[in-house]
Amino acid sequence: MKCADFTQGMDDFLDGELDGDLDAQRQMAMQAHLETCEACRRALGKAREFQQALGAMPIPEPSEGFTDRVMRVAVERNVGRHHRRGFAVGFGSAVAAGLALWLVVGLLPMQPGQQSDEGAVSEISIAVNEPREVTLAFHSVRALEGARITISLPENVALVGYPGRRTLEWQTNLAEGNNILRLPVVATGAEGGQLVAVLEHGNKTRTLKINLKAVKANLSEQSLFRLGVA
Amino acid sequence: MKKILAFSRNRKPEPGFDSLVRPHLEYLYRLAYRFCGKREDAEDLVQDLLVKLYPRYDELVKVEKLRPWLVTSMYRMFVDGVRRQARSPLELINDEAAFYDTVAGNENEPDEILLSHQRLDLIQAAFTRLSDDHRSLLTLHDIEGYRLVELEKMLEVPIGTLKSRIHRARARMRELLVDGTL
Repeated sequence: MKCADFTQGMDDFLDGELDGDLDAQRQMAMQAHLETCEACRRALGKAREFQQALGAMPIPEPSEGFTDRVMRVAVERNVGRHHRRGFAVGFGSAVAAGLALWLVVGLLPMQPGQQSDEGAVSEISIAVNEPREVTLAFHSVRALEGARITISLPENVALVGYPGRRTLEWQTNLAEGNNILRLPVVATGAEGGQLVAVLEHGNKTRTLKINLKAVKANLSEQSLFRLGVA
Repeated sequence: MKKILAFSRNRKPEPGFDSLVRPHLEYLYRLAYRFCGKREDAEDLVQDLLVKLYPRYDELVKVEKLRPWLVTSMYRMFVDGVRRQARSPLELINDEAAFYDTVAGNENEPDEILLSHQRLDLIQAAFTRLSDDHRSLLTLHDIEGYRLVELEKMLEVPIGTLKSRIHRARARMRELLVDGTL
């Protein structure tokens, strides 16, 4: 092997050393050359020193509180997404105890969505003593913070997981687009009644009314009611 | 209802994400510093990575070897950031004095240690003058020890291409360094 060949192959030789996968034949040839050539030995020595020096370059400590800060900021910048997920997911998990049947119902194809005008009344059937998922979609043209939602239930309709509650009210943030709320309701009597969903933000209010008609138990359907928010 | 309100008000970190990622932060910062060359930029890079990965916790917990995965993600972010900024081309250093200006000397130190410090400073100066691509590849392979077969998978770049780029990076370092200073 000539010096030019060694020099040309020195990077591969170093790669092999670093990666631990030296080509045996090549290694033998280069080793043999090194034993007879001081200049190439010096060149290889310099290259190895250089590699070591790269690793020895100092790195300044990060600023104080770096790890706590980056973790905190990662959360804060994602809080908006948490709120969006919490709108539907948090509520769903709160009624997990009664969800076995809801999950089956939820797998069925959804009925075509019905867009409700302000104050218009829609009607769906729910079976007595058979929980059914009523899905509300609050559509907003932009993200809204601090919206207030109120769900009012008629006397003979219960929300699974909230026995005895006629009204549920909470504050949340809405994301741009559809914000889905799934209500697992069950008729406890033959009369049914009107479910009212009210969305308030600032001085604006939107109301959706759904007549829940109690029927004899049969296969449940899932209905989607969509309320638009300006 | 309490769960809804509690969920909406919960600003504490996802405990799982914190315990999963925190052990790697110091390493990621060091790597980011090698990539960026500045502490502030390195911290920003790590920060941006965490912001991006936080919603992907469910994906992260399934990763078998998280550190190389995080390294790959951060490398890609770094490369994407470089492309967006379209930094100005490197200037070839022809002025030897410019290098020696960066040397931090101490007259009381033994000559060997002083020379060692000078040597490191020169290497550091040359390293920061490499292109972002050369600097990041030398960091991953020559400094951090990721093998070529690993980098091929992580970066989805053929080994031959990686070798060429790493060899060019070393050659560039040799050009930037003053001959005989090592």
